[in-house]
Amino acid sequence: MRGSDVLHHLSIADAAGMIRARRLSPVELARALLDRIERLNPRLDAYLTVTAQGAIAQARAAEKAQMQSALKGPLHGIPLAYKDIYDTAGVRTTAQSRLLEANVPARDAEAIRRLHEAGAVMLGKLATHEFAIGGPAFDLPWPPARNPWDTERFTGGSSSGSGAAVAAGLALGSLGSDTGGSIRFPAAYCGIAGLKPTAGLVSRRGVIPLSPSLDTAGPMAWTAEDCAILLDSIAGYDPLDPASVPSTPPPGGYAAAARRGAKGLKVGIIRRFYETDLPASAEVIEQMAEAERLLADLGCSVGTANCPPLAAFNAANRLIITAEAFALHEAELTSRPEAYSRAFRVRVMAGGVMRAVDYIQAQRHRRSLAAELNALFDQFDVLVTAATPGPAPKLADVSLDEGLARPTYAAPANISGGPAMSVCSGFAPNGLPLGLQIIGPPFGEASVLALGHAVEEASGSRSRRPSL
Amino acid sequence: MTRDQAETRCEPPGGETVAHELVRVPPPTVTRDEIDLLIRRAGLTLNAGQKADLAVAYQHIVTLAAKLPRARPFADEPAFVFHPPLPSPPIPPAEQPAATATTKPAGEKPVATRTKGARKAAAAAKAAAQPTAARKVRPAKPTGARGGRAKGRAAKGRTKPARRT
Repeated sequence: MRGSDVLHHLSIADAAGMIRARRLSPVELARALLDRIERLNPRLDAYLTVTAQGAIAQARAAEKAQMQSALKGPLHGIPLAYKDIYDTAGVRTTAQSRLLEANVPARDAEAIRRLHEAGAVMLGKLATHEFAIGGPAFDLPWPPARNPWDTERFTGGSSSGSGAAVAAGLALGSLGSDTGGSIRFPAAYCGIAGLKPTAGLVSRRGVIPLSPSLDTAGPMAWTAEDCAILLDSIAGYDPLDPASVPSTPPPGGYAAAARRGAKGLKVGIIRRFYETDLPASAEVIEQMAEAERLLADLGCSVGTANCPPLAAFNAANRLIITAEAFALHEAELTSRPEAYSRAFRVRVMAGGVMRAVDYIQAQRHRRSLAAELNALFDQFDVLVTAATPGPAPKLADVSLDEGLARPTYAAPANISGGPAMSVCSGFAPNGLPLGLQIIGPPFGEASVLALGHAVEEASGSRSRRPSL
Repeated sequence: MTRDQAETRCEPPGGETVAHELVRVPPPTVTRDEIDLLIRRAGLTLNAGQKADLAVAYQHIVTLAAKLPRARPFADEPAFVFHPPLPSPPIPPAEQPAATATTKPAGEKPVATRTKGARKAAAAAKAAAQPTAARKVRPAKPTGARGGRAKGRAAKGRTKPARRT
């Protein structure tokens, strides 16, 4: 067992193997996690809704099937929880907004339907920034999630509850969404793995949209291998998501691809992002130098990748998000703006007064930038850069205009449309985790996951958990 | 502080303490009157604090927009391709042989194919009012174009699965 000897810190890979071998009861596993949620959620505010009764019922059914050797799929009996923008049949889905406080969807989001078809057990719904953008906010019916490594600190967002819950052992895995970094930021700050898949690979049907031309749904878990296991279940064409794209998984699936090793991969390091465009903290600069040594030890060939400035990606990303988000919320923002958090209004309201031509030019620029970034994959299999400019900041230090005021390292992969993930590659001197970002060409998830898994194994970062 | 700076800085609503400071405000480029005009045009009804927040956010938007390149060739516009919905009713059996007879790979000239198909479809619609003419505009050509597209989707594995409920 690589993960832990306590049930709540099992990896999905280990738990699934034990359930298959009848060495672990799905009911026992679900109860262990529910007990931990009850004990720790008041400190972390990771869950908005806990579906304890449903989870136990699902786990009992899973155990019964286990005893009959009738496993539903690779996630049989695995307890998961979902960002509260994913529709869940009969379970409140709020987007952490008072506007949807009483919203109970009739059916599951397609990605969740696929997870449950694979045997997953749902523990509940997780905190998010309001409508996946307005947070952290203290003027909503629920408080923001807190970082398990230091509860005074920011989890990153917008998939804030997903980052906190997985890191704290309150769920073995989760689904988040990423429009401008919302899976990778909490993965980096909370020290877990989070994958933004290629646009169109995972269905967004039943996921409350933020910016439809950029939104992606993806997995978050303790390890890259676990993300790959989740991706194996949720990836695939959905004719009812207009952005869905037919694709072929790698031979043996994404999990097998993640385990294939990184030897021989051509890795391009985008230094300018963290050295000059948005200079990172000293610990991140040191982490990147260490990562470069580690990549060479893993048998990768490492070079420097030159690409357009970070500010160009961020401008296109942010302008598109702001305009599209306002369009979705126009009716409510014009009639009752006070219903939203202040953070949401600061980040979205300007979409109502920006010029149409600026949105169009941002879309045109997006196409050029994507072509330039994706051209790098003629030279490299994957690109590597920092995930964030430093470890998690204190919650009180997070500005309302985050994302508008300065660029992020996440935007380039949202613009390029390809996969990108953050994996934990080490820790700052103060004990907070640091994320390494791996970017691949569209539908290049296999290489991204393989490198992520190899980095985690070589760095030894997966043996350390927050003390709670 | 200049007059403009004073007008556009973030003022907390009702003088309450700001939990998070709005930092890194870019140089002001818009006056309060201009903000009021923009707010009216957007149909928004905001209090003083909300207006102040919007002014700051708008300054960021102006700064971001200034980073976008503007000088592009007229034809440099692949971003706004609109894909019309694929035909949902099944292709009539009588038209299928023409589709299978198509040797050109689908998608080779998608724009030309669609334009041609659209022209034929328009002609067919026009002719619908004249039964005699309608019979004349049902040759195999437009059918072939559609069939070609359908064949291409199948070749790429893009067959349309059954609707989920």
